[in-house]
Amino acid sequence: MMTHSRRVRETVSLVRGRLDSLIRDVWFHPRLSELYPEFLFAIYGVTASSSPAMRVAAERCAGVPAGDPIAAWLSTYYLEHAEEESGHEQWLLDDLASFGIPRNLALQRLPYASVAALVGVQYYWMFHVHPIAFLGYIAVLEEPASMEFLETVSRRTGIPLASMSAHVMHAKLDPDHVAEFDATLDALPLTQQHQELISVSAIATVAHLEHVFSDILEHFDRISNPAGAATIFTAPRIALASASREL
Amino acid sequence: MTNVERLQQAGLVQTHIPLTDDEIKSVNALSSAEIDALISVRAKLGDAFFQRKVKDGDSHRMGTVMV
Repeated sequence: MMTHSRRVRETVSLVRGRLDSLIRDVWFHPRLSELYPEFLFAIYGVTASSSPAMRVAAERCAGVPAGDPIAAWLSTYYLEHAEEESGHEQWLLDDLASFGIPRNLALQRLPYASVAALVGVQYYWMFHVHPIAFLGYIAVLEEPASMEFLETVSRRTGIPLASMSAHVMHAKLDPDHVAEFDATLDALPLTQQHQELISVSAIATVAHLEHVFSDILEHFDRISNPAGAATIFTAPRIALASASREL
Repeated sequence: MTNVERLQQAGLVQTHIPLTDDEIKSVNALSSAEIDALISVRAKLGDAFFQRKVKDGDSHRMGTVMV
């Protein structure tokens, strides 16, 4: 039997080849210890928007036509999830600080346009189609790296796990997140339109994430090239030695 | 016209890098709206090209972003 989650996962699997390749280019970059703050900054832009977007999605559930079979459940789910995710962006600011990048400097920098596009699409669907679209976004984004993988990265690059707290905390808190999300999705009485919107949202999320990961690599190329465009992370040279927190 | 043929016509599936049988089955199970979305975002399909350097299971170990 083709479950809702299997349908979404198979669709995402079809289209995420390039995204996986880009994510790998970031994690296995020969200068990851220098690139990592740029990676954190990009993720900060995404993470900081998550809890507010879920709260808006919950509010929008009140606007769906009467008789919608899942609006009430969905509203509760988004609110609970927004509470769980609240404040996670602070881990990223802490990690950036451990690389010598002060919080105020990170907050002053404009998020990538690709991050705005990634999240902005969701607002369109929430306001103009149906807030269930956000489940497609969650299905793609909420997949934490494994602890084993992060430990390997730390050993290979010298980046202390203490400076990877956002990744580490998600690996520890959400190791079964994908299975739990899929079980939740499968229990819902989705209409065909709901299913399609979740799937289309997931497809768009993969496409926008490709731009985000391309931007991470391209911004880093410019940062590491003195003739390139300056960003707040251009100078002074990123110092791993400043990482001192323990998890 | 099948879904695979629509995607081939749109240039999203390269004839010299064929989809696997499982991928073809997944594509043909998609609705018209989902195929339209794939075409809209110009999604390139199939593991054969992009995942040449990503070993099986890597995508799960690396994660995506987390929110």
